[in-house]
Amino acid sequence: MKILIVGAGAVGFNLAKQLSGEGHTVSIIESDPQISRKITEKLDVLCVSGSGNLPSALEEASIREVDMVLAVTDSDEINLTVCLLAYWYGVKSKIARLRNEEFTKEDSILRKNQFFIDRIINPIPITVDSILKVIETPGATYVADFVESDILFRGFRVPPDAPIAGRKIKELKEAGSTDSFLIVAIQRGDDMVIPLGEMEICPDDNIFVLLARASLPYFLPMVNRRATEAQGIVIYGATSIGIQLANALEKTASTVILIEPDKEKAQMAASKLTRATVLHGHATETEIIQQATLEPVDFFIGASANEQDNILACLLAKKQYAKKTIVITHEPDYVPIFGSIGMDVVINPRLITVSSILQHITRGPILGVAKLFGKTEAEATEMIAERGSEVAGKKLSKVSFPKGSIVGSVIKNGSMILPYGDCVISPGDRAIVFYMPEAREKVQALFTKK
Amino acid sequence: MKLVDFLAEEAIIYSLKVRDKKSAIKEMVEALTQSNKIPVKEVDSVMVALMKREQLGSTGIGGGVAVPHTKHGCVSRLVVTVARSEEGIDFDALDGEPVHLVFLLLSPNETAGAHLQALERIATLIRDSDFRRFMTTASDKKEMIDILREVDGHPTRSLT
Repeated sequence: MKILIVGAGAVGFNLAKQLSGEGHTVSIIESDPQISRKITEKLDVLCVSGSGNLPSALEEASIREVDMVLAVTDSDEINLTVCLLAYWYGVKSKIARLRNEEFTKEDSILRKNQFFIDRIINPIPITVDSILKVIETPGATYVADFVESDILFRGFRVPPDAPIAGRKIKELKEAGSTDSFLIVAIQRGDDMVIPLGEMEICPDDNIFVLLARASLPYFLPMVNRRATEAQGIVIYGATSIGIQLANALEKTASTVILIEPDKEKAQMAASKLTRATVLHGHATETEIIQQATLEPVDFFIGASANEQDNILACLLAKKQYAKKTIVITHEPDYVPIFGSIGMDVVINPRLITVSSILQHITRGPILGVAKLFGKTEAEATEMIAERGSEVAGKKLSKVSFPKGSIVGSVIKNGSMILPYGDCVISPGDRAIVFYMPEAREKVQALFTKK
Repeated sequence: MKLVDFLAEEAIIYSLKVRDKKSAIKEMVEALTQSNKIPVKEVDSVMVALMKREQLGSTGIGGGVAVPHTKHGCVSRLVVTVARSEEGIDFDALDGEPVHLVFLLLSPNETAGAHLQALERIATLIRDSDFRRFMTTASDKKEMIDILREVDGHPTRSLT
């Protein structure tokens, strides 16, 4: 497929990296010459330095030949213009990243008349949704859903008292087949491995599991000896994410506190919220901390626009009063170090946006991708077995999957089946495969018609 | 998926006599043998399978409900039974609370969908606090069955 990406920030760059890595022809338009130079150095893509809302740049980036345009600059206005122009150029598929609620809400004028956009991706509700899932899933460090097949991909930090701590992977096989879950990866320190039967789950491991949505409540007690619903939540930063989170959480949690240093923003937030308490001040001030910790705090969420403030506030909260911390960062380079400084969950809205856009690009056998970002950029991909592909009609044990890959589940007629050796994938069946980046090409080839 | 289609009505226990997890599960498994759902000689092996699963993580999933379950060769189709405990059973549940309602599930080894569907159905039902309250305060076994029939007849409607 030929894909044009407009905007090479974290979102555009990671999309380009992923899609060109999958073998698609990718061109990029980026207005900042310094960034476009970097792109040319790092990726094998055509990079045009210019403004994506001008026909000249679009034409230079071969807009007449592309199948798809992804408008992912930081500006809603530019992204809208890009899609409108792409429509006039006759591009089949157009996806825009838009943040302003006036464009993205259900009854917006754009939703009703979006003939020139096929899909709107708004990073804010997607990010809020991810954070809510983390909060309602005790012990979770990572959440992604394969919506089509109702299969969840979750990361859990294993506490020392978790019932599965100290168990070998093979001891979980039976329970896995009854309860429909499979541990596909274990991250220990910086290393991530696909576990074999003899491997033992150790305290502090970060395990990644594919499981049927229905089995989540039965899996939670395996990774948590005790857990109760989160009741006390402190959010730092009355950003769009902060306010929408407070708004969703004030319906379920007993105490929700939003801390905002800017007086006007604090007042604005207070007017939008009903049950949540808004405190005006810094999350590191003693007085504010006193007020925020009258009730026990289950989660502290650093959601301000300032990265450094978020990190500092989270560190302090973790040390002094919060059971768990969630830090929101836009800086992909920080992600690998957070684990080692005690952050429980890292949420990167830009990378979540990348994953979400990838879920919506049907390409060859790929239906959706859930990526892990960090030192190892492993991913779980849902694929359909194309008729005439290597996997179709064969017993799984007869298919040679490359090193660094594992079939996580097979989906037949909408039901999740654990992938044992004698399981046959028929053409049209779907499977979720977890693999390290170096195995990607081979895995995807197995599902593609020869 | 309707739970009542798989419910071993005769094996339902209105009031469990015992207070600990293993004895409670045992009492339920024995009730299943008395209603001819599983052969007597399989009791020990079914108990081992159920307890093995409990050791990997309590099936006390919160809200005073536990769902011990396993696959086992001694049944040819899904079997579901329910028991109530007034005093509460120490199930080492996720929320640490005593368990007042136990659903026990056995399904054949080769089954794929039904077991998971039953687990899902139970998880959905017990999210409804009215359902839990009605089941635990039922005045006899017949009322427990009636409640289950009622909610199963209206899979999407809650009791209130």
